[in-house]
Amino acid sequence: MIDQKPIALAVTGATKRFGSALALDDVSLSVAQGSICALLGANGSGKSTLIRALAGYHLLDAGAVQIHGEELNVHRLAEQGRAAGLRFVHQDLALIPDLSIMDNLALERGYVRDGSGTIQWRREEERVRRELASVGVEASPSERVAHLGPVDRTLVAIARALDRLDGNRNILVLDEPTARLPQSEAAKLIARLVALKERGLPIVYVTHRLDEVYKLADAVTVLRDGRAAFSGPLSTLSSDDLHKLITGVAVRMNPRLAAAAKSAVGKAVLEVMDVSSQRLTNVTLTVQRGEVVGVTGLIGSGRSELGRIVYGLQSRTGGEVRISGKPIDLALASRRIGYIPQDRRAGLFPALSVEENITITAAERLNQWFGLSPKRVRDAALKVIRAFQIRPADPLSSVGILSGGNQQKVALGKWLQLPLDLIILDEPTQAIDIGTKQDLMTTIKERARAEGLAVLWLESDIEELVKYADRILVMNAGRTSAEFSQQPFSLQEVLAEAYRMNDDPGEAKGGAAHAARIEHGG
Amino acid sequence: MPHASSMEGENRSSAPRGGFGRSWSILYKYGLLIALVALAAVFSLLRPDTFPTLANAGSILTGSAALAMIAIGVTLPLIVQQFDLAAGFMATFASLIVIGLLSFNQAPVWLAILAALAVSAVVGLVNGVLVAYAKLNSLVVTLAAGSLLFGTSEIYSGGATIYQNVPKAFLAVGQLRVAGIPLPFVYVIVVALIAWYILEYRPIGRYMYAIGGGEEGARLVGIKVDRLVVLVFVASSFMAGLGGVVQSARVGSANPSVLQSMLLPAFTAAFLGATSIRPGQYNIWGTVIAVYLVGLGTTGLFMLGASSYTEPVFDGAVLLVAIVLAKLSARGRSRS
Repeated sequence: MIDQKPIALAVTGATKRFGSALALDDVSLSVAQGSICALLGANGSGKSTLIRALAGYHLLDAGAVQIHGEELNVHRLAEQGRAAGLRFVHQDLALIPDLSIMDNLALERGYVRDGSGTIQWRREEERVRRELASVGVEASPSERVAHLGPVDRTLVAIARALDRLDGNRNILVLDEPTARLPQSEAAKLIARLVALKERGLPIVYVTHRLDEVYKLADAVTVLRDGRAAFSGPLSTLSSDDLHKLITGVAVRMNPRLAAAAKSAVGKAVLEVMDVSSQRLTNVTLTVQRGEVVGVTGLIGSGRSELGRIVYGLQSRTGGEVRISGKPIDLALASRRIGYIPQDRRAGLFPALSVEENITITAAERLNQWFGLSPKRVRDAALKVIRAFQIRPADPLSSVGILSGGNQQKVALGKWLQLPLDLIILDEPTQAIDIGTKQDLMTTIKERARAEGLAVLWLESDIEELVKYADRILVMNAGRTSAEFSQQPFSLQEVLAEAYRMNDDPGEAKGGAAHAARIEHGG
Repeated sequence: MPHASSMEGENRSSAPRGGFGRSWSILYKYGLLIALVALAAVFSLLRPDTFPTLANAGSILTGSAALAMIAIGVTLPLIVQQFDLAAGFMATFASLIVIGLLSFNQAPVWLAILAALAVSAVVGLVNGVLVAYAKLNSLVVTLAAGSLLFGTSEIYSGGATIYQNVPKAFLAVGQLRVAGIPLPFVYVIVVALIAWYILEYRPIGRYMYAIGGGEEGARLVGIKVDRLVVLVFVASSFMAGLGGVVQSARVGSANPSVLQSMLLPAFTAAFLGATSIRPGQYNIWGTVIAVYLVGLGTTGLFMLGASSYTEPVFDGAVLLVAIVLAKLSARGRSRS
């Protein structure tokens, strides 16, 4: 449209409904041959839905998709998209670390074999060497993927996805490839991607990092609440414009909580003093009695790691953590600290019953001289089931069959039944419907108000924080970069701070690849 | 559905509602016990003179006692998703130690028994530490431990059966009857009751099932996973040793090759047991019932004239059926 080059991929009027929610509303996007279109948007804006729809995971309710000018059947995007050259590289790359690069590539397209079916290793190796050279990887084809750096791994995944690098029939969709990379590595990857683009490859590039957009993208599509807030060339936009496009959402505040939101002045329950670790640099924060402190930041900012350090799951290289004045080990032994990990399933026992899941934290308290009374255990479980309205309200059904929202109620309930000093929540309302979300956060707020529970809440959904937190800290590349304590919070300001460009490449700490394993988000 | 809220939290699966579904789930829960009774009835009909007698009942109860102990032992690591493949060799080794101390060293009976059990516990401790703290695969660790125990057993006994000079007081431990019930069976019941009580009524038992349900999750709620896993291996090894001691007291001798063949039947019983009582989860009563189901089955087949080679065939077939049933019952749990 705007470009001289032919359009490789054009999506028009894409619409997708989940129940009553409109996940995509008349979204259009296009990528020209040899250009990169950045796909931007906050969490829940519809980026993932759009990508998944293109890959054929979700069926679009309406819309059209054209590749190289040919109209595809939107009901058969999985096969037709693939046949037309559409390729996806997802965040987890789906490589097998213990196999060589050659084997990993062959998983996708098979080995070079002779008439009898025997693998021609010599020719296979030559072919892989060529493929690696074309994406800019210098490693030997027989190198194990585990030995590669994160950038090379991503490039290997790209080489595997593309079938003919010279033919330019492919269109590559990259889902946040730099999310888990430190800044310096990200810059290397971006340089490689630009080189691929210049050789003609069209790329749809999903990202959270605005600074990257200006380094590689030609066009940009910004999604907000399922709509395309903007779709067109990047050159017309300033970074301020992009901020506004991404974050232009009205602030909504729960009136009940707004009334209750009175800054509780209590003694400090959690004190994080000058803590450093693999990804954190001199983080200092406190959470008072009865206070809900939200910590946000992009993926890779270190917020999840902060939670793991406070709960003693990960070691720190410097600084001190005190809970109720006690050093962390002693505090954890007192069992007055709860933790809900980001990966909900890691915090639950899916094969065990609701009752077993709820009472596992309370077994010590429920125990009597003769052991656990089944009636006491059952009563404790029923109390939580009732308080949290867990459905089905059956203490014996296994947790694995519960909906995501109900699983999270079990996870919260098992902690909140105890007299806690502090609870650490890592994305507690992720993938939960709005009603349940509100119930859970209201429960937590009330608990904080009534009993002085301190809450450290790590969250990527800033809109949620703005609604329920007493104080919001923003993290950027392992440091706390801003604090908001004046209510009502401005969603725009917090978002802008979280998306603030970070042009200091020395900042990011190394070793991101493994540290970030469970640090996924939006 | 009115829940079986009477006893402990059994009836784990959320059973289908309604009369039919309920009776079906009860049938499932007690299926193993029903199979045991049915099998006894069949053999009684086929061999009315020899099978349904007190003597035969006594011999089945005693004959499977050592296996029951070993099987209860291996059930514990299975609950926390670990394997103790050394159990059979441990039982062998313990039986040789106890008989050897009595026979070669004229040790007092209590000391010989204590020594055998202590050695068993130490072996379990080593296994447990290697698994829990060195993070080694329990299959490999216990396979190696089993091989070591096997070799040591051969060396200690010179490959022969030890039976000389075993005092009567020791034989009494394995051969007396209380109110007509053979002592070895009494031991089984006592051990099973203790294990069951701990698993069902003590926090530690809950924690074991939690570790089995997800080690990461268990750590996150503050369970001291590693310590507990060590304890489980100690308990498993101890039970195997106990099985060895009971067996040697029953027969008055020990040799390096009899008890080790009980490893497979012990696992068969644990897997089969997991289909019943607490369907989908390893449990003590399921294991015990399964041991006697297999014991009764082999005895019955012998009486029908099957050769002694039938036993491993029967065990293998039951094992296959057991794991298929276990899979199905686990699926049943996650459905509904």
